Amino acid sequence: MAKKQVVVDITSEGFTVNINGMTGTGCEAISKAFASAGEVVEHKKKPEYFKNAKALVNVTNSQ
Amino acid sequence: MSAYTKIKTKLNDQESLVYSIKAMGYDPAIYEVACKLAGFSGHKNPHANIVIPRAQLQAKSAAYCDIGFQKQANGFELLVNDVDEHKMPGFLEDLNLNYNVGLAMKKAQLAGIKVTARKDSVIKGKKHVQLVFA
Repeated sequence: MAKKQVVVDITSEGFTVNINGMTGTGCEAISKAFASAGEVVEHKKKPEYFKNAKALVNVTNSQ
Repeated sequence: MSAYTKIKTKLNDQESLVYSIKAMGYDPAIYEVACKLAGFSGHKNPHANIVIPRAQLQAKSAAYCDIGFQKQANGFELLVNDVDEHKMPGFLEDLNLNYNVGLAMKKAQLAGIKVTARKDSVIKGKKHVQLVFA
């Protein structure tokens, strides 16, 4: 079973969030929390997204 | 004659902005009602809600005037004296990076997850921070 982990890679331009090993509402809540931080430039929000227990939220707030 | 330059930013979360300034080693003054910045005497210096006092800046660089952040509807406006702009290379990049770190940590806290590891690195000349939450 995949290790439950959220990895956030941050630069001066924004951040990318990878959510691993989580499913359902937990994954969705984390995804939504990070996505609310700025302009979401990419969000793999598909039904299989939660089934696969992996998500990507790419948020940017650069000038 | 020197003057303050106004730089529009999309930094709109005060808590993360203050976190960023502190992470850069400064202790900012925060004003609900904007306070006049200290710069060259006799000049029309603008007002700001968050101020990095020049005494702190002088300890780290040759900057002479306060740096301020003025609250605007779409984000804070950075106020820096034009005589100081070139004296602090990388200031804006560090400010944005640390702001994003503060924002990510705040969002993680809201989502109920905690930081378990932090790794700082430079990738292709750009500062990079990786946070691991569990």
